[in-house]
Amino acid sequence: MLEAALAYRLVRERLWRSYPLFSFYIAYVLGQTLIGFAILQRAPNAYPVWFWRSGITHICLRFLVIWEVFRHTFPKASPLRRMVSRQSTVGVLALLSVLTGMLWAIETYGKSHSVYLAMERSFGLVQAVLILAILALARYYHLPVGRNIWGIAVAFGMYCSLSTAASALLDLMHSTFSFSLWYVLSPLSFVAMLAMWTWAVWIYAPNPIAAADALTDVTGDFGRWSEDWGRASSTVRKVMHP
Amino acid sequence: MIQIFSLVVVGIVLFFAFLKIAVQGPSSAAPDSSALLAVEQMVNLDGLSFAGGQRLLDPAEFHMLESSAELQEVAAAYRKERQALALLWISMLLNDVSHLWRFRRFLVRSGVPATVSEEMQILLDAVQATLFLSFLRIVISTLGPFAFSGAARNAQQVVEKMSHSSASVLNRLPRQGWPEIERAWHKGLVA
Repeated sequence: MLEAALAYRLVRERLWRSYPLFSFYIAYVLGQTLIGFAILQRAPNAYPVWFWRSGITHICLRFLVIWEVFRHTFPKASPLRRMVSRQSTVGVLALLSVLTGMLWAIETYGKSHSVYLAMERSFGLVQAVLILAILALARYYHLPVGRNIWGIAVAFGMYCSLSTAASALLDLMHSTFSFSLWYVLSPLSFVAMLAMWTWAVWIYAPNPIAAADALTDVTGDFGRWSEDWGRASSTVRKVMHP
Repeated sequence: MIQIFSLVVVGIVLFFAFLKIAVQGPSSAAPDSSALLAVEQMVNLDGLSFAGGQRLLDPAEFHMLESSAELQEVAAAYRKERQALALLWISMLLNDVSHLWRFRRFLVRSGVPATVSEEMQILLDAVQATLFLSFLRIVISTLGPFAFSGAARNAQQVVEKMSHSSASVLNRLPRQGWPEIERAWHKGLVA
């Protein structure tokens, strides 16, 4: 229901043009639900395979949402993008190393429980940290963030962090204690994220033009002025020394 | 086991970090410098425009004088003079807070759009700034001007914060209307 409402707003407000990666992710989630429902009705035995395989793709596709938030917060024209890109590449590489290490670590567990849960918590942690870093940088540089991107980023971060904690606890539960709330926490937080996203994209509210862009314009104007000035000087020289 | 448990803790910590960001709401655009300048000109922010606040509370010169036995009296006079100047500056900052608060109310009364949450925030900022500056005044009166030398920056920041919020409201008006606002504001002050 929420997925359909979200897709409807994206199409109705033509937001898919501004947020294509996010829209692709939503289309995938909607497709995953619809196909899953059809499989459950017609071939229930095939449903678990579909659920786990499409779930793993879903975890990987969440990086699209992060990239969408990043490219809107630091647009190509912004000088901050050039500055932040290098550090963020290093950060992403470091986080990916941590992620790989955590996934490898599952091999060393005394009793391996679920690769899906290991992926969920490792990817969830990396994705939550990445989105938090983008939001922190935006706040640090006083970059105005519009309702669309802010809502998408915060809801996504909350979901990823809760899903990290929940999937880690689910793995722990097997050997320590049992608490049924953690089984529903991750799906519930996903529903909450969808609800917040629906609110965020209900109207088109993009990021206001950053001051950095204005600075780029000034630099452009200065460049044009310098060219004109150079041309005028050479004309004057030609007139004085024919 | 420890690795998984640490992920539970990190996940919960991250969740609360996002929750805090969610409660704070999206960051609003900073007002442009022309609006800030216009507010400073309209409201006459004497305390904020004084650039030497930090130097006024800086104890370096006092310690230099105090370290010499022959200059003890000079140091005491210097300290007293600085105390009077610092108190004067704090009074000016308090006046700025009061003027900015009045100016903001004047803008909203004049029909500039503002939300209730923004009004609550400015009210909170004004109360916070007044309390902080009053506390600083008491500290300077009792303990001397050099007791909290680092407080000068904070004192200026609390007033700057109010100046920013007034500028962001003014920014919602077309620039052509600013002189009219300035005239109405000064007329209201005289009346």
